[in-house]
Amino acid sequence: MKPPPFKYARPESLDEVLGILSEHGGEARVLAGGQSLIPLLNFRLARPEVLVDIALVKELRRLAVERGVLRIGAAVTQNAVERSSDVARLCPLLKKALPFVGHLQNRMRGTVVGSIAHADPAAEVPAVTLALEATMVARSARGVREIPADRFFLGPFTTALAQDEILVEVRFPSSKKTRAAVAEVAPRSGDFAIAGVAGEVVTTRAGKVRDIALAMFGVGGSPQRLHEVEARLTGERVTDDLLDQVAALTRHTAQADSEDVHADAAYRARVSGELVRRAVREMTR
Amino acid sequence: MSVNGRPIELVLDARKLLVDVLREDLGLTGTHIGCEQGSCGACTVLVDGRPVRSCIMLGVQAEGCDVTTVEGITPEDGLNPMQQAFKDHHGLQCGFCTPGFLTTLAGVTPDAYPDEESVRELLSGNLCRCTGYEGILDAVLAAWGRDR
Amino acid sequence: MTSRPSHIGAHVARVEDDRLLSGGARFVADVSLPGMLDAAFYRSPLPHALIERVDTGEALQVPGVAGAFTADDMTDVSPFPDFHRTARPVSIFPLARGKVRYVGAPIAVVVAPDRYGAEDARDLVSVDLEPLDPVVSVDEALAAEAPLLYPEWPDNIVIRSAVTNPEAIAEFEGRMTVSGRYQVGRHAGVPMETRGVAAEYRDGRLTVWTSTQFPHIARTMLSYCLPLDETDIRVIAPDVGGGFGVKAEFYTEEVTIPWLAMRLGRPVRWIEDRREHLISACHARDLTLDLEVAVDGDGRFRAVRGMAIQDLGAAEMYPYGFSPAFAAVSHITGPYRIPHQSVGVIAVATNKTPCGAYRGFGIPEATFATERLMDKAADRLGIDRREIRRRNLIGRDDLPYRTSSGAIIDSGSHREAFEETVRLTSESLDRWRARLAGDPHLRLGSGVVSYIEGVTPSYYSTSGHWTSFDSCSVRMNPDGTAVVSVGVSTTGQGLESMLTSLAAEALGVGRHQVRVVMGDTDRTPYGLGSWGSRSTNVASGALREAADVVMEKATRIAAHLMEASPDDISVHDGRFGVRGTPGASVTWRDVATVANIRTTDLPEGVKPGMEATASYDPPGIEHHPDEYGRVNGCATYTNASHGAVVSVDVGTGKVRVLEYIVAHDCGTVINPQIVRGQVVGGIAQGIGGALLEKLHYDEWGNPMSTSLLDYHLPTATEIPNMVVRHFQSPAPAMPWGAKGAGEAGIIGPAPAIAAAIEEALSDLGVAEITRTPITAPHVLSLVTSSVSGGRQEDRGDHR
Repeated sequence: MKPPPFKYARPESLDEVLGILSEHGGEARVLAGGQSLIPLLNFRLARPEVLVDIALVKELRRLAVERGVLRIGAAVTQNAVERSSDVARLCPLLKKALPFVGHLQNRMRGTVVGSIAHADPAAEVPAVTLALEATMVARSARGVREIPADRFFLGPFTTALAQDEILVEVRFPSSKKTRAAVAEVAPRSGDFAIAGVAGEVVTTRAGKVRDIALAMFGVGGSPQRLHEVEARLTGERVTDDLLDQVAALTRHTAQADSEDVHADAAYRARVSGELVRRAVREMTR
Repeated sequence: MSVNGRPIELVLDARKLLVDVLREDLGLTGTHIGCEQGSCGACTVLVDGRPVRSCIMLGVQAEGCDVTTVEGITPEDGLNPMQQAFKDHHGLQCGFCTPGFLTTLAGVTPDAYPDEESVRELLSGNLCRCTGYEGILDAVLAAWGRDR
Repeated sequence: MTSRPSHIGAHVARVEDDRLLSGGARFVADVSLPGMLDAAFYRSPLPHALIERVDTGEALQVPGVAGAFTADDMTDVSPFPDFHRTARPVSIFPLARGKVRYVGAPIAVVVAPDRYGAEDARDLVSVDLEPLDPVVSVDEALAAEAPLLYPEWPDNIVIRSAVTNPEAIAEFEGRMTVSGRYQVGRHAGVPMETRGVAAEYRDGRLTVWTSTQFPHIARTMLSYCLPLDETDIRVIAPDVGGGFGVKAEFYTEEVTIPWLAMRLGRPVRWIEDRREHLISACHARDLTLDLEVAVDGDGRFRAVRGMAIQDLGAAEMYPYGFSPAFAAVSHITGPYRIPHQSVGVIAVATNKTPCGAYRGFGIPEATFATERLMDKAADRLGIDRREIRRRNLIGRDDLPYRTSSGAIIDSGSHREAFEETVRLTSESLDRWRARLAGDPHLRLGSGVVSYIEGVTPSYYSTSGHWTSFDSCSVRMNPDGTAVVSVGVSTTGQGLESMLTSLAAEALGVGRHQVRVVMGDTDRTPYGLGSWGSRSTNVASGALREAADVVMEKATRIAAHLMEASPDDISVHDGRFGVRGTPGASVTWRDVATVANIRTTDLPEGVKPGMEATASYDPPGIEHHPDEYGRVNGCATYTNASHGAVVSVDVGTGKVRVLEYIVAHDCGTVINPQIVRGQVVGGIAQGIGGALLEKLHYDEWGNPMSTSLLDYHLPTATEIPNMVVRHFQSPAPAMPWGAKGAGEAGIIGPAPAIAAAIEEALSDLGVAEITRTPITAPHVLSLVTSSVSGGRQEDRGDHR
């Protein structure tokens, strides 16, 4: 389990990165934290011609808040994001989700943007971008594209990024929602989830749901926003009866087509309803 | 880079994993390989003080970094307090995973792990097949001055 | 001559720890020799296929590649001998000849200056395979017209032992019967250190470093396979990073790598990667026990009958992978008075990785079945699940007790350990109920099980060749320090420390004056290695006999030097004294100096030198079962009771073990910390097997658990706190009364956890749990089917 040979570049400017990607097309891969890519290399499941290490590109190492928007650059580690007070304040859901990502040692090098670009269907961070309606900023030698989260994830390990593009930044808009929750079932702590839900909510003074966002992961080939469930909850006071209805609605509407040796689709569908029930209850208690 | 406080200059094949650089080029065989996909923790070393998995990091990525291995956290005249606690509390059997636990623990602050549950969570990034984690947990709590 | 017990039962630090803690240990992967090459194997990507053509031409073009070889090149290599008389011969050869029978079977090997280059070349090996229909389950293997793994056989049965004991059968007439089909999933030991071999051929001698549990057996096997005399082979097991039975197999790579070193004239190394490990190191378990018991109306078990059915995988494993099925049969009664049994064995070949040894070795499977049947019979009769066990457990009055499997139980605390576990488990459950009362998702339950474990077994049924003895040499240096070399070898259990204590005890020296040597065939007397919880028994027996010889001589010399009678000599802490004469004293250094250097001071008739080698064969072990499969195959038997307290999340099916209780009896405890570590570590593996671990295959025979992300070892968050109680019922016939403790912990968790889950869900009337691992989806399906359809039989599968 050793990587195949490749050429390695560690440019200091984004333009150089874009140049290499443009020159090599699909044969070049961006190396950020490497927590997904290097295992793939070790298994020789990926055989890129060129690896472009972005560690030295200053502009990709930015974690900043501008006009209420949280901007996380491609080289910012999950651990740095987890510890950021800006993130805790502006994006409590992201802060809540990150401890579920791998283990401490992975988060020390793994990046938030890398997790998004990798698009593992069972990963937490992509679902968080959906729930928070984040914007992905893609760059290539051809220019800049902003892609909303709900148009970014196309399937398992498949995104809207073109071969010559790099995801340079993710932007989380400021949210008016005040409570967040992540609920998931995983075989062990640190494992990819069999099923999970990430959400946030704001309630009225009277305790009714004013606005809610929920996104599932692990259940289907891509993270999915639960619009029907959100609509069912909006304007309502959360009762046990309503939670039962919401759990049933989730089971029926969630696109549960992921199957692996750990769980079949039926289990994922069933447990997705339960997880939504728990997440919503936790947030509205 | 510097390794255990000593400056090192090497010309490396880009694909060479950091763990192989440490073991093969520098002879620091205390860092072990258990899975080569970043899931077992046996290869954990400190890079700039932070615990990382050296089996899924390229040697070239460590350019300019301070790397510390289990050899680097071992005092010349014996054991450090965490190592001693592992010995006192039977926190190891075969010892293959042990350097990974020790380096992980050397890279964290105890205050971030205030209770047993959070310590277990911290330890869950390192697999041990021998001890059932009991002695390891005992050792950590003892070294951090806590009652079990 | 006597000495005060001072090292036994004491809490003492392990002598091996300092090097392991500081990075100073030496595992096989740390062996580095000038000019050493790395090997990589091309392994079969198909479960069942004929090898049409292997082309290594392109691989040989990779710069630096020193060679690429197939079975055709190994003309001077012999296949493993087939020793077993009633099993079909498998004729294992280091590289596949003509056919592959599992994904992972080695077809070719390439050698390069480092592993990176070796894998580059390996990827360029071109192999044409003609796929054959795969056989992926026992049912498929036994079907008429099933594809044959070994075309020279009439079917896929490796061994069948049909047992019909009329006395047992008669018990079923007119009695209530309870039956079930219990499946323990395909697990493996998965030590943190994978396998590895390094070899050097120099000056006509072969030196092999291998991560093995039995260096001497490895040497003998090498001499059978390679054109070398045994005296020209040295096998070294350096520090070994866990074994658990996985490394108590002799693997083909252990022949291939030495052969390469001889062929190429350069040192060669192969370090198994984790993917290889999960498809080519032995798998284990995958055993189904199809059993029926005859039960009296008061819950007393009268007889058990049925079959142990093992999915062996491709069967290319030595020692034999079917042996755990026989061990299961010989433990089928557990610690219960079940007067009659009639249980046969059938082991079949399938296109999966060959099965072999894993800690527990059939006993976890037997215990799972028997304990599940206890619970089932109790439920059927309306007797409390604890009470039915009381009615069946053997007690002190029964000892010695010969089980219907033939095991002779001469000591133990079967009832006491059980009652203590029941009490502690009940207290624990109450505590956890109070603590978790507020959580609406959780239901709590507990289960208590008991077992016996035969330790220090005959190796004959497993190997068809070796039996049961081991050896020890004790050599006193002139300065009075001791070198103790043994045929057993360590995989991290703490044998060095244990033997240091015993040697200090036997020789009357300080622990710091003892150096234990193991794991090197050139420096240790012949022995069978460390497996089967045998090392404590056999090494201590041999050590005591060797030490007795040394001590007798030392006593005579000391008596001579002090002008006293040998009968009055005592020794302690490196000093000999004369009972009744307080001032008289000579040191071990004095005595050993006389023996080794100043031999003119020896008493008349005492020869120079101060060393002895002894072999020890534990008494009472039988190597051949009778016609009903009965055999006392082990030197002695430990006992234990386990209690699991679990929560079941009824919304997700997730099971959490909240606390685990064990009352364990392995006779005299030599080092309490080491015994506790063995027990607790075994329980952790047992919890993994009960809830998490499974080597999955798809319906075409492709392995689906090829990394540690898919084969789930428990982490610190899945293993609970444990309450451990030691009972000590010394084994009358064993040195120091000790019984091996290496495997015990792993036996209890699966049935204890299954019972606890059922108890937690008892008000739902869920179906019986009959297989492991008990995953969250499985538990949730029990919950949902109970709500929708009432009680249902659990559906097993063979895959």
